[in-house]
Amino acid sequence: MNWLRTFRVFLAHGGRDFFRHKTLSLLNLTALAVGVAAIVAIQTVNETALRSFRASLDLVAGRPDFTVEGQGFRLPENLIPILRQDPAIRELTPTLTLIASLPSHPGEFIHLIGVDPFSNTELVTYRLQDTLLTPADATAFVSEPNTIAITRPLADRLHLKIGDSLRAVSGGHQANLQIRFLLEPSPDLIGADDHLAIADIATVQSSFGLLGQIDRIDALLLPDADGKITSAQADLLTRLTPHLPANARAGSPERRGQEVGKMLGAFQLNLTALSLIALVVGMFLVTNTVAANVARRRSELGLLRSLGLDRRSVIFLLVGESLLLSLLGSTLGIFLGLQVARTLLHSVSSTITSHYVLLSMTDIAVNPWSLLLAGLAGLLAAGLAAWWPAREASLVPPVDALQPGNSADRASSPHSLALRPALLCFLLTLIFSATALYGRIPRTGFLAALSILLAAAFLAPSLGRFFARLPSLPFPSAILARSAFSRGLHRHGLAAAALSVAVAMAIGVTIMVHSFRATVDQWIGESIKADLFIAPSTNLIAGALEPLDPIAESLALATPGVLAVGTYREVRLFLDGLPAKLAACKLDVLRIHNPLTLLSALPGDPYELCQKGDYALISENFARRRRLQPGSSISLPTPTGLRSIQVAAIFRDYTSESGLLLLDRATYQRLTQDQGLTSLAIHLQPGISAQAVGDSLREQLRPRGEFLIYSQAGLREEALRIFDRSFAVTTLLRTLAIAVAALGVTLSLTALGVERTREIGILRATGASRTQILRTIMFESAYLGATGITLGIVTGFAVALILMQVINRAFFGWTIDWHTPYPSLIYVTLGMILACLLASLPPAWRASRLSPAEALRSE
Amino acid sequence: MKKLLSILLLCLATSGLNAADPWTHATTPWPWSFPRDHGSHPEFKTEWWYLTGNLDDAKGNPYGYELTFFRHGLQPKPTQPDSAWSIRDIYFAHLAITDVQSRRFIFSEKISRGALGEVEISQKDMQVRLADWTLQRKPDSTLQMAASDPVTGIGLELSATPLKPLTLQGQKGLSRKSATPGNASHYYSFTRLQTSGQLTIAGKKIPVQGLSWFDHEFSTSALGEDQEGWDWFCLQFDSGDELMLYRMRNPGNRTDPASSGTWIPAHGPSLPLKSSDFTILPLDEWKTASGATYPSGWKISIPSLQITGEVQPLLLDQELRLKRTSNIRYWEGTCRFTGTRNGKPLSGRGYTELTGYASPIGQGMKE
Amino acid sequence: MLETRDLHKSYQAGEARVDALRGITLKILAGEIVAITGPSGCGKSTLLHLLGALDTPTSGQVYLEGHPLHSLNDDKLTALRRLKIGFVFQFFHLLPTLTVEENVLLPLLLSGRVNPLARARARDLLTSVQLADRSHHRPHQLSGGQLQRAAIARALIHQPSILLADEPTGNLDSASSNAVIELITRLARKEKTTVLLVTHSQSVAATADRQIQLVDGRIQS
Repeated sequence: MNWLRTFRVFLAHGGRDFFRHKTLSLLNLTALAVGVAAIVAIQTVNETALRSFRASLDLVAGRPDFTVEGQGFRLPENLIPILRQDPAIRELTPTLTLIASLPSHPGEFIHLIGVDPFSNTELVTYRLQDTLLTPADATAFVSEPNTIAITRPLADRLHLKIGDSLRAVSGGHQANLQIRFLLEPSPDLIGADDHLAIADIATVQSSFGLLGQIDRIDALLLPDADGKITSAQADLLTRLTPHLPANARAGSPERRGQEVGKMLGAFQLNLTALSLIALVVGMFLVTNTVAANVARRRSELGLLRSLGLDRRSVIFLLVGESLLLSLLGSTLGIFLGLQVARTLLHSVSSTITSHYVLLSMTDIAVNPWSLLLAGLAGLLAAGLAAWWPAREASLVPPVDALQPGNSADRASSPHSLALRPALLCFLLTLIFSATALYGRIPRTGFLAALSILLAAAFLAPSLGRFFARLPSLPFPSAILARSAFSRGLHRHGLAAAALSVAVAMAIGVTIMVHSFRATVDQWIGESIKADLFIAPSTNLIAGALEPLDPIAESLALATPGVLAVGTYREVRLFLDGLPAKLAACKLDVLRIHNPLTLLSALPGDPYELCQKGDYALISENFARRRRLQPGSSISLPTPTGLRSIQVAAIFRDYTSESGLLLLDRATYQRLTQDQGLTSLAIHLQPGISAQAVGDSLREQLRPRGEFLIYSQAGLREEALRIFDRSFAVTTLLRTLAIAVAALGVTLSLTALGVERTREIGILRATGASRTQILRTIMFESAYLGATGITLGIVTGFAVALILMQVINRAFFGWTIDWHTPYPSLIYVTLGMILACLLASLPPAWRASRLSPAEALRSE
Repeated sequence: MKKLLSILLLCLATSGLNAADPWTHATTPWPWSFPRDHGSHPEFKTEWWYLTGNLDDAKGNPYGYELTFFRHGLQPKPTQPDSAWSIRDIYFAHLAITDVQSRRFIFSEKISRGALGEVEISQKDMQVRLADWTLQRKPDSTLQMAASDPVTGIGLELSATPLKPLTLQGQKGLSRKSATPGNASHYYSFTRLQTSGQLTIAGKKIPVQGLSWFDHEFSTSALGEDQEGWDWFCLQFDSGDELMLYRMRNPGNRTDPASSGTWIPAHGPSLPLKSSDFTILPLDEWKTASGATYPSGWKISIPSLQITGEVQPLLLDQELRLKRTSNIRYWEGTCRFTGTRNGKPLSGRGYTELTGYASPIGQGMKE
Repeated sequence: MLETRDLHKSYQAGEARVDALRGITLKILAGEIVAITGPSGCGKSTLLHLLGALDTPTSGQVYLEGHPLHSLNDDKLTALRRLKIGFVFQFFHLLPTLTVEENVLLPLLLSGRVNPLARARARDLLTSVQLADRSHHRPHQLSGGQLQRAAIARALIHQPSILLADEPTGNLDSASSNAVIELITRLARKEKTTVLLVTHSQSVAATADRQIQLVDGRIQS
């Protein structure tokens, strides 16, 4: 048997088949392309986020062999002489970073990096250019005070040029910086944040009140005899550790990237899982098409079989053909995906900035490997999807295949109703939920969601059969549609399965997002008690945690009508390898004016414990993820050493995905030496207008820089705005899955239309009008839709349950109260029905236009 | 006399001679007082401690070395005095080793703003340290130096004992560089130092001994406006005499009349030489990979001393191509002298310095 | 009752133009049973489709009880098929999910005329085709001969003026063939239905009142 030759014949045939059934093939192609596009888009956006973060990091720190970094708090600069003495270090350079707002350019900010241009020459990956575009050296950079270099995009945007001065404000300090150079990143650092600006470290220290402080030290090491630095890194770490402050973290710089990866991990996994669902839906569709293809080409296969093609070759040929088609689909999907990624970029970048780290992405970073991977995923999906119908085709005896007759009559009907696999999947759902919740393997939560979706998919044909057995509406088209639907279950079963998966996902996500939003909204209502809030504008614009001008607190306290001023300080750090937020409040103000919802506490007054000693209040998700109880102790790395903090109480909180550790302000300041504040909460005396006090504060603060002053309602709005933005991508993916499923409806009906051409001819001969044929097919689509949507809605509730009670708990540890979004569910359902009807129109129209004589002739 | 730093200075386009110039200028001879004047003079903008030498290993293989520390004042009063990173001076150091036998010339550089104790330079004696590169004068007057660079694999640890008292160059140590008053430096040398210790090349330590030459020079504005560079020679003759000559190059490769030199006889007082006392004629040239052309090999005659002879570099490529400071390039290399004095053979070894031939320096010179 | 004048029908098959019918003029009287015979590809089926209002001619005229089929639109043709024409096909073509009785009632279902009277007629017809005991079976439970008998009942349920049968015995053994042909003639005579049989079987053609032989799209006289 010459496989290749046969394959060529078959391909030639298949190719012609493609063009004969353009619609079918194109639909199939599109379905697969959309699936692949979803993956590509999400992967690319994720990739871009990491790449952009790294590029910004590399721009200032280069690619050092070793990094010491202060987490949460800055490092003392006198670490540098200690490091200099180490024989393994050949170069080292400090950086000091801050976010400064630009009062003359409202809404803009710079990400200012203080560098030592003398020691960073081997590490930096930027160039400084003056007006003559000649590269400048270190001496030129420091020869005049307050020199700053900004990126060209920022300069263009703000209409600044070399020679201009720029007023920058941070933490209550102001500086008049002189733009003398432009910052040109090296070409491999595309995606670096264009807000980056470089100044001499002395300028940053003395202009912004940061004397003696640095953020990180980057070092180049001497390689060992083999030219490697790995052992040098390890040895150095051992030598340095006793000299480093508790909050310093040292090691290879990859670690930093890994941490960012970890921080974004849950977020990215979430998106990846959703994008995979789009592919799964696409997979159903491919199976469907291949099956239709097989049915249509029975006689051809029978012929090949009778000519001596063995069974394995049949599978090989059919799968091969599907792979070829999917190659085209995947390629298309990759381009489509990149386009989608571009449109998602902004929303993802602001989401990451508001939740994780400062990030500003301007263009997508394309990783050929992820594209290849997504393409391969598409191929694999198509191959897998084609395998089952191909195997079935290979099992048909050649004689049967050669027999004339309506192929649809002979196509296998789903006798095995797949109840057992459905049950198995359901069991898997339970098992995976358990491992996610109790086995500390959070990722299996996604497998639980996938299993329940698969269970629904397996149930789809049975439910379809059930619907087909119900008495139909007393219209001829309805009766015919019922019969057609039940006979077409071999095809419709898959389409209904795909539909139910898409609907389930849509409903699940809708319920989850709605419940989450409602929970957060309610919590905001309960927990935001203050009348006014003040924060530095950069914290909103750039998502930074820059300290507030200390004058704001005294101004607020001095303002008539102010009852109390609560303070809030927040820093991000890693605790036991997990990201967390450390926060500090004036607990005496908080307990009276804005008490927390305590879930459990040590005996006694937890607020008092915190005010008196090294006690902390922790958020619910912080406790859950670290399995902490009131009374547990936590090691907190601070600039004053590693401190053991006891948990006084656990409170409900939705502000941080990574969890919150809350200290009393006095304790915090004693332990961390950090006097900064992130925001103020102002409580007014009864009857005082928040508007008036806000305006007065705004007026007083104006000369000090840019501030955000929110009213209670304003803050609530802002919180919900951030919430909605965070779920924007989720919503988009949901729409994408629905679109793919609707395509599936079209695909299924088109395939059946092709299969049933002759039958339509008979109906027409028997006296069925065009309208009756049109209606019959639309009714059939209604059966299909009803099956998929009903199943999808039921499964959707289960998916929502898994999202909230398994995935959310395992990853984030929040409590989300169930809120059923009836209107949204009705919209989604109506939308799906409409989508099904719309999807059925093209095939229905096509069938109704068939000439009866030609239809009868066709076989 | 080495004006390398003046070039840097010009490159950097910092202030020159203006009315409100806060720096002290070298206009009259300095009231020398040692050991204090071995130390730093921060009221002057530019200062350096410069060592070169010709050494041999046990087998008699010749080596050359250069170790230089520069201080370059940016502003007499730092603008951010409260920060440990505030800058008053920038410090550079250059290390170069010539391995004549294996025709290798390896160099290394350091630059620092001197923050957090990275640089220490005493104002009382010769105690100079930039990171772990050091130059110290011991109580017994021996100069001790140590510098190494693990990346290029070179290093040195040498002690150099003066065999002669120090020589004040020019007029009581006031060394003029051009006709303009104030374009001068305070300059003294140890012209013959017995040197021993070890060099490190490619990580291998090589015990060596031989002779060194030491210059200490400080100034504020040394270079004339249109001067292009200079050719500088220090020669130590087997006879026990030494010679220092420099030729300031004006546009068109003309010799500036302020060029001069010093003859230090084996015994007795040194003798200043005017530009009219000597001629320096290039014999050949050497082209760098970057396209610059250096003269290579010179015929030197000093009729008044009845000296004629040729200076030949021991290795053609002894150009320092520095990266950390705007790609500054100069040639500083070990040389051999063969000739006659009073008709009798005269030979010796020394160092030659050529600046302003590679374009960036030329650009800077014209400022 | 059925008349054609110089009927032509051509198809485009790829590059080539196929002239299936090349000027058919014939007249069939009410109640006549006519067999159209001829070798494969002579245009039998094409003629049947034109006479059965399934297709329109390239040129020429077809009149069914005075209705000019060649100039009617699809809706009118459909209505005619629904009311006046019954079809029997070679491959029976019953809808597999409907019972035998429902299949028989299909034409009435499509025109919304299913009522107790119609059901009674369906039962009568099924009795006539000896399938009364099978009326609630599904097609896959029936043999070929039984299926074709059910198809005949379906073709006659709405009392068409004309029954068009396209190789009705093509897929049957000779015993079943005889039974089917006997049934068609018997019922046609009883219901006074005109019958047009397309067949290439001489024995079947012999049972007809008249034979029209087609060769290469023309009537062989």
